[in-house]
Amino acid sequence: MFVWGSFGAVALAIVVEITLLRLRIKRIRQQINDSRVDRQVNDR
Amino acid sequence: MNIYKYASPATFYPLAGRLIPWFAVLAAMLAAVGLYLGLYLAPPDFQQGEVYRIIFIHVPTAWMAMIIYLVMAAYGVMALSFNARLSSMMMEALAPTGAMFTVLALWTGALWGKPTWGAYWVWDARMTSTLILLFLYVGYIALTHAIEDKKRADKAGALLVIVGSVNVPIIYFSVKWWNTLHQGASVSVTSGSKMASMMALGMLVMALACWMYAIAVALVRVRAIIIERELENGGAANWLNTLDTQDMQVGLGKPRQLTR
Repeated sequence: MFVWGSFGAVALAIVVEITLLRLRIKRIRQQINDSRVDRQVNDR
Repeated sequence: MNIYKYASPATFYPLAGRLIPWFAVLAAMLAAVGLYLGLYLAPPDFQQGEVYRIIFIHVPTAWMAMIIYLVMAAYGVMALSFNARLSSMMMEALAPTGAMFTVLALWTGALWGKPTWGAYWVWDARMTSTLILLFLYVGYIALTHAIEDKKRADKAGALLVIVGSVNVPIIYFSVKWWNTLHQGASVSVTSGSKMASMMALGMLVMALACWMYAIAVALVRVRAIIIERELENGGAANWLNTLDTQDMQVGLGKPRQLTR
């Protein structure tokens, strides 16, 4: 039980870290797209 | 070849993008081999039985917690000495992963301590100093987020990390300096290994796997930090427009089409 608890904790930690990173990248992508659209609107 | 050009975030960004898949694949392969060695090939311990297998996670994560902090301190010295922005960004990128490894080291240590020592936690020198390391990581993250001006935040964070780095040798030598419940070093550069060779090999392979994982994740995070800071500075218009979709392989994608 203790061994599986340890390995399970590691797996969970890795999943959480990667998920948070992916959410951060998604937010950045949205910001970049918004700023590019705004520039295209301003250029018109 | 001028390697100093990679000190610029704009030049380092595509290089980091090309390196990430290599480190990620290496981490996965080493983890698979390490887990096979540790969970399948290595024999049970004559005293602890199967519960000792936590060593294949506990020791690598503890090593990474200390190594990442020392790397952060080195970046802190570079950031303060050369006023290098990328060094500060690397510190910021490494901190969450270092904190994660510290939590895992403490958690797996507690799960190992209960069946072997009869207690999840004791206030011995190594465990207490590792807990302080976790506070240092969290303190760095909190401090840099609390200061709005990025340059001041980077300087304050670098100072905190450099001063806190005195804790790492305390953690490492605590089992030698004090009469602690935590066992002494089983693996040493000077005196070799006191463990069975298969156990030592599994532990070292897992340590390498954790190292490759930490590098891959830090590179992904530093790319995100570089873009975020560019967006904050309003420089995103010029620099990001020079990136093509290959550079954006971390999933930053193509700009959506204008519909209005």
